[in-house]
Amino acid sequence: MLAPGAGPIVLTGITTSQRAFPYLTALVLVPVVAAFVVMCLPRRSTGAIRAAGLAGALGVLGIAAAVLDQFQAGDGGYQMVSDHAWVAPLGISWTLGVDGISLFLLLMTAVLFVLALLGTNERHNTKAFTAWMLLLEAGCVGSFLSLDVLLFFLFFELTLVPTYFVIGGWGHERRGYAATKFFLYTFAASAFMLVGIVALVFLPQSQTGVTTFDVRSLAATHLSGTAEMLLFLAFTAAFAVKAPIFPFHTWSPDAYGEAPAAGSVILAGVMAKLGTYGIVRFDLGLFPHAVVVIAPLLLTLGVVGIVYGGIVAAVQKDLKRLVAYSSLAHLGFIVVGAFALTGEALSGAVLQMVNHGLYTAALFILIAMIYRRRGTFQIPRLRGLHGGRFARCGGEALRSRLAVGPRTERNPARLVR
Amino acid sequence: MIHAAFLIPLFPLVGFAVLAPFGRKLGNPLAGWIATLLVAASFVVTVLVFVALFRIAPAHRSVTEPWFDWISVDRLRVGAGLLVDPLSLTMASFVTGVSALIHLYSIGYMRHDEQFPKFFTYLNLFVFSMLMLVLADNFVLSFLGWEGVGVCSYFLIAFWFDRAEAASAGKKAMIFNRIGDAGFLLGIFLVFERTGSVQYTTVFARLGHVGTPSLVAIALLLFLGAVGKSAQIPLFPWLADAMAGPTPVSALIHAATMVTAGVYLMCRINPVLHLAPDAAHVIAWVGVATAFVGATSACAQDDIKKVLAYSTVSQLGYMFLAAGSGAYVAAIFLMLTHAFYKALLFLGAGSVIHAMDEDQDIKNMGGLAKLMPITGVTFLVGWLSIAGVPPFSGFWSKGDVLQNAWAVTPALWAIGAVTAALTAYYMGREYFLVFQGQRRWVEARPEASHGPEHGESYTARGLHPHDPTWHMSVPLVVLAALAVLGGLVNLPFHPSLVFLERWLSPVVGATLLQHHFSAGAEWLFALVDAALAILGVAVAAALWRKSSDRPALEPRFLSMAWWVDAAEDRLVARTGEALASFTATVVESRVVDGAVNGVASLVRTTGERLRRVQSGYVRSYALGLTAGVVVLLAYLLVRVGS
Amino acid sequence: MSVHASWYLTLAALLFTIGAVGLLVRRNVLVMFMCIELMLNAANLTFVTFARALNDIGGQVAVFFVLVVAAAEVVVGLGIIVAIFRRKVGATADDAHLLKG
Repeated sequence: MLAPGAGPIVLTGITTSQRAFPYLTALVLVPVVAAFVVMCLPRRSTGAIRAAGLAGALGVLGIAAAVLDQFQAGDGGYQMVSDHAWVAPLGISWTLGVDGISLFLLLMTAVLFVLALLGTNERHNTKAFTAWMLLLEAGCVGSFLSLDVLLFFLFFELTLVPTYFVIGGWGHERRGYAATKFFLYTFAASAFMLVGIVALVFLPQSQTGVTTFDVRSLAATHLSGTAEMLLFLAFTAAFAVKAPIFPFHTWSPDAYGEAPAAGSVILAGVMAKLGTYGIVRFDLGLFPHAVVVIAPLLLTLGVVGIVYGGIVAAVQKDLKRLVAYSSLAHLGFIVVGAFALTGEALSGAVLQMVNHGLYTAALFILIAMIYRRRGTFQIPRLRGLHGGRFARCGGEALRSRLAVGPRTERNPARLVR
Repeated sequence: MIHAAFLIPLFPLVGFAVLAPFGRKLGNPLAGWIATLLVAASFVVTVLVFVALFRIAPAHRSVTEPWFDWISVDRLRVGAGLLVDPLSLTMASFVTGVSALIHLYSIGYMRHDEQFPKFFTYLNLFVFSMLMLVLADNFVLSFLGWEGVGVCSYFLIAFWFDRAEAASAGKKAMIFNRIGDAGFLLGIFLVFERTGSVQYTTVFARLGHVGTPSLVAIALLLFLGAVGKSAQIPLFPWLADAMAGPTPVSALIHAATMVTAGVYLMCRINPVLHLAPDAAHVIAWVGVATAFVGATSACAQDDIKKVLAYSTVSQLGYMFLAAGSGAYVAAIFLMLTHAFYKALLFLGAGSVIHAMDEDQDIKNMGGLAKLMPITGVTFLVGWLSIAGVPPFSGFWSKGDVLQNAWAVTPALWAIGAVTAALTAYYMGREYFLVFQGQRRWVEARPEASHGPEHGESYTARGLHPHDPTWHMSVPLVVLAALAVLGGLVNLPFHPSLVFLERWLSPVVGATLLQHHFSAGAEWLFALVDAALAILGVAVAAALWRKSSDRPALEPRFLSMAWWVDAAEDRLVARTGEALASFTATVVESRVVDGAVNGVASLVRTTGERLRRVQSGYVRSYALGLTAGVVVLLAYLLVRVGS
Repeated sequence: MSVHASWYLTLAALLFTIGAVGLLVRRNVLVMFMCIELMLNAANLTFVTFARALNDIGGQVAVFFVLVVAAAEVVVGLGIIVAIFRRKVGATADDAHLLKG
């Protein structure tokens, strides 16, 4: 990570407790190291590969638990901040920090990756699969923790490549189409975000002379009305496709449907939240005036997504696509919660992010179990599954029906014919 | 002792928690006994808390037992805790009592079922949810229980999941309930919006600041929830289909407990209804209309359980009539006695179904009274109670309801009275067709085997009806006793005898309809009630004791319940499905996704066109170069020139 | 100077145009080369004319560069043409279209 003229990474002071263990940097690096270890193992030893992959994911979970333990509730700012200058002349730095919102998303991510690696088993080329999943974990974790806008963008994009390979390499019949569609659609949308980021940084720079990509400083800058709206739209373009928000959602039924089980778990559980997290952290944090103006439109899109997702899910014959459309509906709730602009709604949105991640992951793992036993995702060909597996089937059904929070979700589409 | 109230929902929850993972190992019948004893323990604690509450002065009989802060964000503060007051304890007592009896019954009824432990797991979860519903101290916690009973009814109705009609019935129940739940949720949101709280005591104290239109809206939205849960018009078709579940489930969920949740809700929000009389009138009229439709439909049913199902719809209609008339005590009184005799009737029906080797068609029965004396006598008691024949409990409770209906408007009383006569009639029809008259089934020869021959219909095989084991008989007898004596709770003869009214007055007293009839008027009402009941009994006896085939009295219009289900299927379900298919195939695939794929193909065609510039011919490249140079030169010349 | 510079420039322009048109129109590769040479020399003439008219030696220096480049280009180009003619005897410029997109 050397930039011309900047010299090697300069270790500036760490801004919280002195000489503290860099939890957050470790969270990002552990899966990368684990991926590296997995790549060094021989291809045949699937047992060792799975063990190494699980060890990496469990390591992340352990550190995340430690972060939870150390977290001070009630403290409004970012905690455990790691701040190292990276490209100093451009103001880009390796800044990671955690606050109430990212803490729970981080924990959810850690748990889901463990479950994804544990609950599914790819026999074909396990080595590459596990390595890609671990890199994906690093990307997701980094996205949730970044306080530097460009670093966020880097991690955000970094999640696309492993996902493309996971879907394309280990997916079902139309995996090529699904992977390409997913990659190109989200990538094209985030191109807008990149332009937005650059504009966001360099617009105030012409006024203040200070170039910084740190979201905390950027939140304090003053932008003109049109500039703010355009930047909001640029950022939201990327998040709207990622979340997804109607009508930018059509990549998700294909991607969720064709991805392998672990891929669907992470796609629906974690990566969708990257979009909604981006909305909460960046849109609401950086462009408050634009948000107030455009909230009605996004509330409408959210509500349309809820109803539309439910309607279309109701006639799906493929289990995975049904869950994909129902996810569209549930993410609509998050969008509505974010743009309702009250404290309760925002808390509800974040809670729903975590809840949705957990129960959608459960659903996809259960669907994988069904597939392994019946060889099909098509609902009309599945009959009489209920016997014997009460604890998991009933538990999941209970969990998904009884998830109650400040905004109780109702899903009219949770039908199994 | 009141502080032990938390044990009431805790026991069945423990039962669920133990039976879910270990039920299979504990097996048959131990799992059943654990579940039964835990619910019975709940009942014991309820009685003890009841006594403790009784010792407190009436004005202070409302104790809140807070547990913990559940949701605490900005203005939204929802706690989790119990509200121990006369209304919630009355509900809890008959819920736990009748549930315990039904658990005991199920040990016998489900004896041969492979999924025996799972049944009790669900039953305990159900009882827990129902108790949370009635004991909660705020709307949101009640809603948790509300949803819980909905989910459990899905599990239990579709218990025999390999039967298509059972699976479909479970789904139908869930969906109809959900429609109501949307109303309930919107009601809660509006309550919070207008009063800033969801706690019952706080909300009711702040109602004075809420405008009447909002109050009417709140009442009607919550009533919509009740319509779904308690099977009123137009959301009642699920209850008849739900008879596909095991009979103890029908008894518990659809007679005694879950469907009464809607009535409980209306009684709980009586301060709101008091301030929104328009909403109350709507409730009363919907109730009485449902009572009539349910009763007429029951007159033409051939399935022993479907008669009882429509009967339940009808009786629930009466309860809403009472709640809408401001006669909350009458509603609860009827709910209580109905729990006794309806559960009794269902359990009796279960006994008959067992005896008839799972045949449920009453046209194939007859003459069972002598062969199954306990079942026959208890069923007779149940019939006379529901018919409103004095001195059985139904006479007193239904009498209260009708009397208060007259006080609102005589029209309500008239429809209610006709329905009362019909009630006596259709139950009589069922009683005579099942227990009296000719035997329309084949008796097994003594040497014939009891098991079914492969491929033989049950009528050919031969039947051997007899009273069931003690697990099933004891609840029948207990419920029959309660059905007989239940009226003692609220006898109108003397103010000192109206126990129930005095007991419930702290909760509903302020809003009770205050209409006093003269003693003479009250005797007249009683006489008319008795006359209607005896009329119904007599007509049933005359028509059905000897004959079992009267198609003129069983038109399709009634047996298909006024075609409500068919109409809703065509108007709502089919159009909804068509709309959804259209959205999925046309809008989603062609328009929205088409736009995305369209962009991709646009890029591709543009690329194809632009490709032609690369002709490969050196001369055309040279031409391009030259043309470019000329343009540049011209531009420069113009720039320099000007 | 006896002949005015503009005559030289006109001649150079004419030569350049002939060369350009010839390049665009003719198909024979050798003729195209000759046209290129014509254009280059027209440019040379222009350089020299201006060098004389403005009394600046820079123009004549430029001619040297152009001549060297022209020579190198001819060497490489004729080599390519020989390679093409070895494949097919009567090859024209239109036959070398393998880079069609």
